[in-house]
Amino acid sequence: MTPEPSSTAPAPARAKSTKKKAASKRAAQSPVSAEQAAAAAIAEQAAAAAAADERKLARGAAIAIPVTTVFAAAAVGVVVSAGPAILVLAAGTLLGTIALFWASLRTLTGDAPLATELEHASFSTTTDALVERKRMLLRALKDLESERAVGKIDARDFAALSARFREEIKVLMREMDDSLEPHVARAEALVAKHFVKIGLDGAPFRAPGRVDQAKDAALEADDALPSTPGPRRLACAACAASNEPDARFCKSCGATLTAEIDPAPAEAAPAPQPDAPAAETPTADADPALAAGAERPEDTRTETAT
Amino acid sequence: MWQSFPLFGSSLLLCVMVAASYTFAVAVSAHMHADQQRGVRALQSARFGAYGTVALIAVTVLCLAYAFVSHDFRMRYVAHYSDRGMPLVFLLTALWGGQDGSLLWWLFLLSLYIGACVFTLGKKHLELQPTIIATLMGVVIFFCVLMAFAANPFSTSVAGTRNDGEGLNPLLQNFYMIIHPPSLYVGFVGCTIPFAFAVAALVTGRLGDEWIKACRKYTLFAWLFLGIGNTLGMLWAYEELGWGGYWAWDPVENAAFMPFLSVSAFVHSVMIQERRGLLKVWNVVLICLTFFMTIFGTFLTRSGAIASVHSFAQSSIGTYFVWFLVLVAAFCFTLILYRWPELRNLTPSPQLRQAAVLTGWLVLLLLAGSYYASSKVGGPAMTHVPGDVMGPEALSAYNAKRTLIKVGVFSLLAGGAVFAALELVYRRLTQGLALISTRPRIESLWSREFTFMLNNWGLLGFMLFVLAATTFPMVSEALWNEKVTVGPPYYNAWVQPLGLLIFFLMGLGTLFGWKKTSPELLRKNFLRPVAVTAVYVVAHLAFGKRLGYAPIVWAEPIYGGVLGKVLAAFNAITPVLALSLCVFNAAVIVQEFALLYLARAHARRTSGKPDDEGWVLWLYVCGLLPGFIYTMVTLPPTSRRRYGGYIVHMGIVLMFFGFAGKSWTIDKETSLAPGQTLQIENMTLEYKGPRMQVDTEKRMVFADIRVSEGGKDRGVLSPAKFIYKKMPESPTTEVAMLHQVRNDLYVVVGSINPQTKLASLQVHINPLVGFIWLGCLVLIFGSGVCMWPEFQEDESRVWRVARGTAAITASIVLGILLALMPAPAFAQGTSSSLHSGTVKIENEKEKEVFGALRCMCGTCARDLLSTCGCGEADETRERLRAKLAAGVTKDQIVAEYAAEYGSESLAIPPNTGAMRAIYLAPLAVIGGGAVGLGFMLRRWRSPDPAVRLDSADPAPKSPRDAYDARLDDELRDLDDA
Repeated sequence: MTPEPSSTAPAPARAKSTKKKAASKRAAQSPVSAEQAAAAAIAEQAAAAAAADERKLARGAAIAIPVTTVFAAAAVGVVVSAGPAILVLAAGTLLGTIALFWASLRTLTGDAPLATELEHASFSTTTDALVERKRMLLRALKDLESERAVGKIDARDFAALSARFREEIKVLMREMDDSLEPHVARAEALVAKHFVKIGLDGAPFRAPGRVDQAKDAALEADDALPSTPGPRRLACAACAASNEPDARFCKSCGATLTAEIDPAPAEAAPAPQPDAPAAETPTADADPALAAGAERPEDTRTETAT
Repeated sequence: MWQSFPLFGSSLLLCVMVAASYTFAVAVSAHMHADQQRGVRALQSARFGAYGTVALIAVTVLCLAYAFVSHDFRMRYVAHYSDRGMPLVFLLTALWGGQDGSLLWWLFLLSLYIGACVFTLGKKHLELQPTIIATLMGVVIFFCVLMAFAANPFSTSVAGTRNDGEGLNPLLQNFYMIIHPPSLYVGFVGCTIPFAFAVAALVTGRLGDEWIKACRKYTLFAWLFLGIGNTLGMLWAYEELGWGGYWAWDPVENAAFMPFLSVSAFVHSVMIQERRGLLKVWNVVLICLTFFMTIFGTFLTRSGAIASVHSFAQSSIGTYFVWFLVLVAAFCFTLILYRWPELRNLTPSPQLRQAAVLTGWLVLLLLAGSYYASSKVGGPAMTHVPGDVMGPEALSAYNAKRTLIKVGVFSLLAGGAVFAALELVYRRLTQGLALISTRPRIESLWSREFTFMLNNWGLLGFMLFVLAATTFPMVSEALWNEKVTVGPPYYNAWVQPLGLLIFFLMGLGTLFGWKKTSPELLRKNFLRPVAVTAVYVVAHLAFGKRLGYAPIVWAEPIYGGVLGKVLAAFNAITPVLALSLCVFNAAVIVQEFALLYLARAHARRTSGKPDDEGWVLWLYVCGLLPGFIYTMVTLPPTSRRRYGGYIVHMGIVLMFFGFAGKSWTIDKETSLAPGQTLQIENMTLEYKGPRMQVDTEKRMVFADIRVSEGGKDRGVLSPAKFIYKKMPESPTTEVAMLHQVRNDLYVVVGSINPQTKLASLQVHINPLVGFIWLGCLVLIFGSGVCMWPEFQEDESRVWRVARGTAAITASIVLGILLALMPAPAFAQGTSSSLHSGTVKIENEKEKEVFGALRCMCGTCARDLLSTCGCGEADETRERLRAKLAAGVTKDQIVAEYAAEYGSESLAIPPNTGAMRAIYLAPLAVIGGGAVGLGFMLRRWRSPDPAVRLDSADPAPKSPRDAYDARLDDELRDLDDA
């Protein structure tokens, strides 16, 4: 019998504040019924406070009932005998059952508050085929790499297959980014607005993980941020193709690679670092909900698909 | 105590039913309003309801416990399974000792699973949760109905209150009897959770890898406990039954074994879905089949439908089970048809759904109709020769003709029906719809995908074979009105080729990699294990016989004719074949780990990380285990599951090694006077004399035997007879064993003459048995590696290891504790598993004859004369012994016996007429499966040369861009899943 861990500590306060905000907003919109709105706001505040109380009560009961029952049963078992101890245990569990069904019914009728995590949750009724497919392909690629590492697939097959998978994944990513573009732009605008509000005016913000080549170039030219280079790539001595830093064989021609460092990665420009540090610092202060929304494009997509 | 306590208990059961129904309704409403906030509210409510139901079930169990502790003998169940003298522990364990209580125990375990499942789901998988809860509640409701109306543990006895209960059967109060059924229960009940996830996936249409990942741990846990339960069952049979073996292919053993096979197939085939999006239908079918099999297994145990060692007293609950099974099957069938478009990656449309459901059911109904029609042709069934009208040959010819006609008519009708349904209904209903599947394809047949398909085919084929043999007595009686027995000799002969085939596929699959295995590398990887195996085979052929492990062991064929000879020939080479496959598999696994080690060492060197492989190597050298565990723990999750799986394979190799030892079993029967010795192999057994001990419950008569090997003293064995005061007429046999790595010395005392002190002894030498139990331990370890929880990167390593160890240890210990909770009277009733007597077999010839015939006393279910210890079996054996002494041949004796008692008195169904269906039907399906597999793979392989890898030109390379970097990042982070 483990009742729902219904809420986390700071959660009621947050719920309260959002409700307050909503109420004041409404009041501002219709100045005619300002008094009514004020009354409604007070009522809502009272409701939120009651909800917080109820959550506290639920948390208390969730701990108190099992603990009391077990201790009482143990005490009775020691002092009297096993039979009554079982009865005490049964009685405590029955009490818990009643409490649980009470909570269930009150939640169903809407009298009891939802757990804060669930308050704004919603079901996504559709699955995101693109995300799923991308995950599948990524796993395929990963498998391929581990097969390569333990020597089950030769360099030639590996290169051909992995190139195909990468291409497919990139197409998917592009597709996903395109469909996300409007949402991300909106999120960026919101964050920018927020920065202005909190006095961080002018700091450029880009959602981390976003790839937009035109902007990338511009950004890098602007800031000239010291981008940390990744592990150096290996150039093949035979065909000059650029290979992964840990490659043993060239993915293009299959020749064994020596550990010499690629002097100038010719065809592959150093990958622009998507997590540009500029985006890092401000987000820490920003509204966590917003940041979470803009953090991962695919996450946003899953949400917007609802 | 209280007047109405039994009534209170019964009401609690009804309350559970109401509570579960309420939760079910709320969960369904949550699913219906999934697009609104109301849905979330209802889900939260359903979660509370689920916890409440769990708590209420706990209250019910506690009330029954109280009834036992307070000796409330008004209740029939309490009066039947306890008495006033029992200690508290036994009173509590009697809770699930009998039929009614064990159903409540089942429900209780299920409720624990439900609690754990709802808790761990938390805020994840919100979309699946309502349906999962609803499905689980549906199962709870079924068990409540069952208990409330058919097997109520709170029902009062009609005869009124007794002064004292009957108490537990002392014969059943032994350790292994206590532990193995509950551990199987943990596995059986655990299969409900993946089933609920599969149903949720089907109902919501979220058929990707989401549900598979969500229920992975539960599936592994259930699988592990099915494995542990089966092994403990073997251990029980070996340690307690006293016939020297561990697996008798009893229907209940088979019932526990079949879900194990289907879950094994499932854990392999889901990997293909995760990587490929293929096999969606297959996976849901497998998991539904597993759930079906667990309920079916319970039905077999409880309904008394098939004679078994374990049978409970017959009761009416069989009917409830049948209806539940029908309901589950119909529900799953419809649901899968409804989701057909999604499962087959077609564009879903209402029209298509309608067409699928309608066609599916139509096919089913038409097949049933065809069966009904074919049962009406071909004339009446005849089993006994009516007077002198026809001889036995004519009768068998008649039956063969009749069967042929029936099969012919059925095939014609069924074929026509399926064709008509597809062409007339499905085609018409789906006219104008685009039915082009966007299914992904596989690159190459030389890939792990393909070998996994083979493995699924093998495992399912094996399961089907066992299922056919298990249910054959039922089928044969229904179809041909002929009672038959399918005894261990049948299974032992047939299972060897099938089992070894799967065993070979296991090693083969390991050698292949995902996607495509390059031929040269495959050859290289093949070469080393094959070379090792070849060396081994040569060595075995050369020295095996000298060491006591003869490579070829001939046994009497089970059938006359060519088939019997072929089977006997295969079974004769089984010893060397099985052992060489063990060597092959072990070599493959060792090679995999070596490759892993090399790859990791290489990766470290090239990535420029500090080379800590040095001290790992040192660890390897000092003690293999720490280094090995270090490697396992530091693997990323996907690889960890993979290599954990290999460890499980290693456990299975060890188990097969132990099974193979069965071929070299030596049985000896002798009577010794005190001071006399018996030489068996290189061991000398000296009978010291009898010894008597008495305690409050029983008299114990021991026969002390000093064992020495090659002049070295190996200790004293004391096999015994226990004579309980409660049942002095049937003394129990206590086995004494000397466990060694090489073999077990297994001694049973048949009788001890009080005057002459002459002891009749049975001595078995069972080579390599210990490896089975060792294999099970390795299997548990491997499963632990697979289930090892995933961690956040930012946790410190020590904390990670500590947390992981704690979580895994806690869950396995909890499971084993549940398993270890004693259930002493589990099979009380008409059980003949007591084996109180002893079998006396004097020579090989007798062994053959007795092994082919069944004890027909009427109470010993399915026991052969070679193992049955009852009094009537003794008399029968004496009778047949006299006949053998008079020079009558085995075949004549068997024929006479069959004529006297009917064909059910034979250990295996005769190889004539319709009885051939027992192996022909499953073999036909297995063969058909192979053909189907071939067709499917041909479809899977892309005809497009650009997708196929055979084309020599490498794929065109596109320049590296920003997406590549992101892709690399995501690839690195992928392992958190």
